[in-house]
Amino acid sequence: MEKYTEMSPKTKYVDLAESIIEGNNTASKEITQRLVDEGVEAKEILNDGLMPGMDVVGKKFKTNEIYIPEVLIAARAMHAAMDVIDPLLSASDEPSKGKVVIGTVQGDLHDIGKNLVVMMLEGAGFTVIDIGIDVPSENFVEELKKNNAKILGISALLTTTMEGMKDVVEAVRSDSSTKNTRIMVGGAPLTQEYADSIGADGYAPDASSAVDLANQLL
Amino acid sequence: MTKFKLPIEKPEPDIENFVNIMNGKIIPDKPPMVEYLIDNTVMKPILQDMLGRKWVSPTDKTDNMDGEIDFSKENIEKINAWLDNQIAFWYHMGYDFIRIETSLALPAISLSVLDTAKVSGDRVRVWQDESKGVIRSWDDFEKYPWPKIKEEDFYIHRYICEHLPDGMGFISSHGGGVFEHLSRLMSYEGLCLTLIDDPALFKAVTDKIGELIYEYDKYLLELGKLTAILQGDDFGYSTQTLIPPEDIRKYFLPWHKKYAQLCHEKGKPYYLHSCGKVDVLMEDFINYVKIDGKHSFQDGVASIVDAKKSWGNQICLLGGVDVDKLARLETGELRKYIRQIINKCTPGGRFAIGAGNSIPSYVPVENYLTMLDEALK
Repeated sequence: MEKYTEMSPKTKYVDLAESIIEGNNTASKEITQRLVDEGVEAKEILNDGLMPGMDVVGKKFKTNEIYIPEVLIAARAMHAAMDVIDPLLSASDEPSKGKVVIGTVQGDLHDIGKNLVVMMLEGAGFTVIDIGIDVPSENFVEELKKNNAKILGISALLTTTMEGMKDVVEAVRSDSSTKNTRIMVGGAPLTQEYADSIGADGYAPDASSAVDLANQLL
Repeated sequence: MTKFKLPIEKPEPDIENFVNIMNGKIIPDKPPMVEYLIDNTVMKPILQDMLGRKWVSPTDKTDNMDGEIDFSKENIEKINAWLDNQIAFWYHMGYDFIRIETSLALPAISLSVLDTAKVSGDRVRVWQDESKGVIRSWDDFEKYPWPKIKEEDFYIHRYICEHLPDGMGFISSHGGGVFEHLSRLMSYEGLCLTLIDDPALFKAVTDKIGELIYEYDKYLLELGKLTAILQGDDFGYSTQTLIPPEDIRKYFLPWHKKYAQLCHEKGKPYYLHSCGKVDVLMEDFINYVKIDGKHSFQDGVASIVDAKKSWGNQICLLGGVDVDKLARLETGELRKYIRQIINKCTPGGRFAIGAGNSIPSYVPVENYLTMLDEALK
């Protein structure tokens, strides 16, 4: 079997990226392990193999070439690979692209939209602190402080729970240590107009757009 | 609430006229009204304060997707009083029919949290678990307590048929469609992964649910006074379908085709409620399933005005008032918005006005009445 490290830079990560795009978690784990065994830096595997794979997934999702089931299995393949390199990344202390705290507003138990955004953000190199569902405003502020995160993502499914986003934005803006946080919002009833009206810095209509937005907000 | 032309003291419902407008035989000056589900939070003050009736509810829930209604002798009087209220509500609010749906007992995992809608008081909102289903394997599938259809499953329907005022129709369906119950039993994430990892299990669970609803519909269609089936099955969300369209065509639409066939054999229309961005499936709904009408439209996805242009000469279009706008617009703006829908969709007939989805707890009663009042003008 040809060593990956002996391949050209162009072909070295084709198999790994493909395994992510196809959602093959067995292959993504094996290839990642082989690359590690051949001495490739974890950061390089992430940047040159896994992230480009997730980038393709995000673009295909945005244009309706693929659907949520395919995104979920791609994310599963990404996680399988990340399980191999995560300990190495932590040990190398390499900075991520940025920290994002994300959660669903109080009164709202919707999970899947937020989870897709988490997967896409992680696939794009962000460190994501997912604080779950039904999160009170004060917990968003607390987690931003604790993690020194610069970006906050807020999700809501319903018109009624969407109103809770305003409370979160106000709580974040009124605390001197979090007031400059870049806030992005998303969810089924959301519009750009609503995001503007509550003082959010951006609105993303889908998970893939959330990555573009986070990159802009950095 | 007296500023509205509601409640109507002496209603003159005409279900035959409604059906004829829906199938294009009659072109009306103003559209009839339609609704899919109305939350108890909205119904209660209208029944109490405007109709002077005592609120009774055999359950705290508006929807009964788990089929858990207590039909014990002790509870039956309560059920009857609740049904009398339901009939009175739809009758005096100006509808030509009453719509109620119930479900077979299909227990699933649900989560609950305090409803943040300001009008809901301390009511709890029930949410479906999106990642943990009760069926995750073949073993779970085999052991699941699949229900058997029994006579008492249709107590509510029979009572309504026996107590319908003259001219009123009855529209019903199984509470929750095949895809909706699949996502309850497997969870949405679970069904997505199973679709790819074990398509045979995905199909087995789907077909089991599909068959149950088919048998349920056979009973339903034996009710002489049933006007139509308006079946819900949400296939989309705001930007695409919940699973690839080809999988919806493969696994789910054949079941809807069967339900439509059953209806048509009895000379009844089959209307489909399906939320989200499902425009990619509309040709399949119309030409393969052979639906007679489509319900559920959201302005952010596809407005009823656009739908009218695309499909208004092939099927009837039901509802269309965007729920977010219905919940949040000021009265004047809301009236203007509703009027423009009526003006654009009424010509040619085959249109009934109502909420784009349903009347949830967070639609203010005042706004709901404004919509009806504008429609009745």
